[in-house]
Amino acid sequence: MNNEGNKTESSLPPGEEVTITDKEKGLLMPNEFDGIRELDNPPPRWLMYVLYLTVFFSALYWVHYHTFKQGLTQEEEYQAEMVASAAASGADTTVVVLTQLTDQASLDAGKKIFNDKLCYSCHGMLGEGNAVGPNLTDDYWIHGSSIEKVVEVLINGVPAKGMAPFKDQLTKEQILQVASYVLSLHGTNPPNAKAPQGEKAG
Amino acid sequence: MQPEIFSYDNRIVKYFTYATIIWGIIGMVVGLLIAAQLAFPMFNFDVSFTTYGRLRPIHTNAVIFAFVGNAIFTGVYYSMQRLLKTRMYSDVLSYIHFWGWQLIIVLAAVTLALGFTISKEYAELEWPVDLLIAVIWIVFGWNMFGTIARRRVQHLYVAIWFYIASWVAVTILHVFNSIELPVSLFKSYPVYAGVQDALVQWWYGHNAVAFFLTTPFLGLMYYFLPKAANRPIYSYKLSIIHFWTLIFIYIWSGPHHLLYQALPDWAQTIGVIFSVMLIAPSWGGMINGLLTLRGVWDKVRETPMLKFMAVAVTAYGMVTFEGPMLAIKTINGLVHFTDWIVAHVHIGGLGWNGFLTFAMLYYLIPVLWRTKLYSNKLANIHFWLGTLGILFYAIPLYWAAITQGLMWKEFTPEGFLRYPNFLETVVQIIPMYVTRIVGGALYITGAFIMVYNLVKTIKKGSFVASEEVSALPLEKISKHRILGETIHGWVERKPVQFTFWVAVALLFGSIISIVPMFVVKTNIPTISSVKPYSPLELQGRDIYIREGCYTCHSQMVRPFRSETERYGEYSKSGEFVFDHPFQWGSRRMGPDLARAGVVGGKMYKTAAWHFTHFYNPQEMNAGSRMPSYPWLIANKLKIASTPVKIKAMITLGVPYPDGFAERSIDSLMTQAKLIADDLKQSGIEVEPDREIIAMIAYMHRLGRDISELKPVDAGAAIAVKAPDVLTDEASISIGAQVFKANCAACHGASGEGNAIGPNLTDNYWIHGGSPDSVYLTIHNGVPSKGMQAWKDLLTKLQLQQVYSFSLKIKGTNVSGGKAPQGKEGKF
Repeated sequence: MNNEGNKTESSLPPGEEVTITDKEKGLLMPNEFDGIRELDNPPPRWLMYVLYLTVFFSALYWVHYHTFKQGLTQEEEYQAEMVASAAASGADTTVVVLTQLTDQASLDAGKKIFNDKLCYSCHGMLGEGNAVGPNLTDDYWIHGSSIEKVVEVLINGVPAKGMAPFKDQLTKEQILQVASYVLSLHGTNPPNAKAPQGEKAG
Repeated sequence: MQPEIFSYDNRIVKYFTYATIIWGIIGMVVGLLIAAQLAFPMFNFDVSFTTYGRLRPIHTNAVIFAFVGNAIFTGVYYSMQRLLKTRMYSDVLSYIHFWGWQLIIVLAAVTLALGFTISKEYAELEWPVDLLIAVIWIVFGWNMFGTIARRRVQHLYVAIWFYIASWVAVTILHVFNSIELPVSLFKSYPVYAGVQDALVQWWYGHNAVAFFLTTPFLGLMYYFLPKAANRPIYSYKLSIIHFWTLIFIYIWSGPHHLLYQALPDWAQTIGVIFSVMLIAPSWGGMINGLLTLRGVWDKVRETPMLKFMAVAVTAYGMVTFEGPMLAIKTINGLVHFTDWIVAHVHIGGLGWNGFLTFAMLYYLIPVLWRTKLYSNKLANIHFWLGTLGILFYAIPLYWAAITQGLMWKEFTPEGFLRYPNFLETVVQIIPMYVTRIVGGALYITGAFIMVYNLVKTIKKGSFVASEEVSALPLEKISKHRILGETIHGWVERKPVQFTFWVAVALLFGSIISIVPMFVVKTNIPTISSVKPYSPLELQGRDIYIREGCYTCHSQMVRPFRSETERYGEYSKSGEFVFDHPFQWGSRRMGPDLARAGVVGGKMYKTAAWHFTHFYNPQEMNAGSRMPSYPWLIANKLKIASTPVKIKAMITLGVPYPDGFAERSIDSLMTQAKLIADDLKQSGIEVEPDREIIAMIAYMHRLGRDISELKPVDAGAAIAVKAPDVLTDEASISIGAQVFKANCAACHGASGEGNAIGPNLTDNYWIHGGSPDSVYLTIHNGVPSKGMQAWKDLLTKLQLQQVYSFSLKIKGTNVSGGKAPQGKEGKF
């Protein structure tokens, strides 16, 4: 490399010199940039191997997925995941007798579900109702007051009105617990209760 | 030859230095504030200008373009004059550049606070500011290349290579990502839509990291590290290799921001493999830096500046290893949309950019003011506070990310999501958010100590605005390669040629990875049920963009069971063809909203719910981190802008009917009244012309188009593993009974087929005759042809039994069978 005649004054402050070992003197490149020198060391071999290896990996990856189409596409991966999960978790075959639970443990469990699933955000902390959902404590019911009807609403929801279906979130037993808890709220007359909606239960 | 006397412009360096420090402090303080907002929503102050959605872009723009940007210019203006042995090409251009850039920053802060944004991350600024950026950037380039042309040094040093690559790349990125159609002074729509917009945006976003946060700083490292350590650069060859591989490979990797999203598989693969290939080129910079320090590590211990430099380079190495790992799809599937990405960028931002900038300032200010640093001790304290700050920042966020990512994916043995309520996964990580604030506060405290130290240093020094130096003039040598000159050595002394090859390297990957998405139709399959937004929904969408909702909510359901269970059907590329700009988001502080409008879907909420929630999110979800948006109820919607917006959309190719723009206000009011009436039924009185009505309309539109689609036909053969085939007599006979009870009605008592269903005993198959295909057809059904999805009606064992029975009768060719249908199976 020709750099003769292009030597500039070193801009290092007087008394400061670039630290170069004797071994490195033979490796110095001819150019100098504002006092900065460069050595002619080869790049570390391991680093070059990392480069080659990643390039090789990438070529394989492309060929595997897009030339020979051996790997699953994103959609196939999803379908496989769904099939595997359906095979792993069979249908909920437990049989639950549809009667209102009245024991304290079940009601406590129902209350916990009521809070965990944010039922209060539409029905109020005490079931008193708010702008979104109806009062659950009065005598009036939009979709029926029997345990069967309440369970049905919990299972399938009332999508058009924003009531979510819970069949994908709760077991049959849990649904019965929370339905029983809701029915236990009847007549509690909480403050700020929403005006009645629906029909008076017979 | 006689040496020439000339001077360096130190004053411009001083200006940029001050700007770096001031904007750095401001950007970091805003960062601390938004970190506090995530832990304690009250810090949103219930004012529109200070909500998270508006401050987050201010923080990112301030630290990237104001702090790091000014730091780049400080280092470039200082080092380039010295490396090229000349004054900057034009003082006038230098100062236009300086003041222009500061004006951009101020405009950015003001417009973003006002909600003027196109919502593309790190490119949020509206079109007038975009234009100003382009002008000022060209001024900078003109000044830089002018300086290179007037150099007194034959060869360009590696730092200059990086400056050139940065300038060229940022020019290309900014221009192509910012093509937008203005509808008013501070509102525009990107010309790209949906998938294309996402691809261009993340090509930009990723390479803004590459060519604004990385390559200029590598240039600075190549100047300041050897200067401060008084050591020669370890390997010139490594400089060459890692420079070219870095700029060539970096530009391709953008799609790794969109893994498992609605992007064709081939484009995702490009994102993955080019990210993996980036490890060695990135590490080349770190290795060359660290090996340059070989032999002077004792000096590193004693010199705070070198300590900052060593940690910066190490952080760079960490972050450039972490990046490719995050681009592996399996890892990405877990941590994308979590705080891992936030931690990752802060290792880069706080460690690499921050510490390298501090190192540069500790070096430059004593040199420029011809004195010694006021206090090494304070600088050491800064170093330790900064290092601890980074650790306290990043470690809790990594922890939060893994915690939340796993919570999103966890199922109960019954097959339900363990945490179906998104909020649970947020509340869980609040302690980590609090710890992160501590980390940020430590880091900023260190920065304040630095400011004090630097001010004290400046006070005791004396600044020379114009530094006189001398150098020999540039010797004219042959344009052609000289005997014994390497090709690279030759190109190094030919800046035009050098710049040309840089541009080639950058454009190559850009074109190949982006252009097919625009010209090959099959990349974005159209969905006929996807229709343009109604005028009210479009206005609502613009409010969603204005409030920065995308900073916390994605609109991109990935094809994972855990996401389709939580949100609904996964997102398809054809859904977004009218989305100017796309709103996929990059972080889920709140749940995905892509299916918020699917009635009966898991994310659907009524108008009354939305109304109450926007007014006070905590009333609907105690513990929610979302700010309140009371002004949406108070603000009147700017209805008059509707026709202009519709016209702009038509110009961009959105198929509204003829004359729709003129009718758009009527359409908007009709829809708004319906929503207002709906709210009234829930006892909420609100005028139909309020912004919140448009927002509710938009929420109810999300995902609604695709919800009308039929489920995917299972006949599209999928590689699925079927269960083992049962061969014992008992199982086959039960299988036969299950068949008789369920299948015989359509396939005949012996599987011979009838008027409804095909023959199962011949060797012709409509949906594939391989065992896996047969199982899949039984399992998922073919709803469009009346074949049940038996997974819903049979137990796993029954499925296996009837499947085994079906394989048993296959090929028996029962007499009286139905004529063959479908393709002949080959066995």
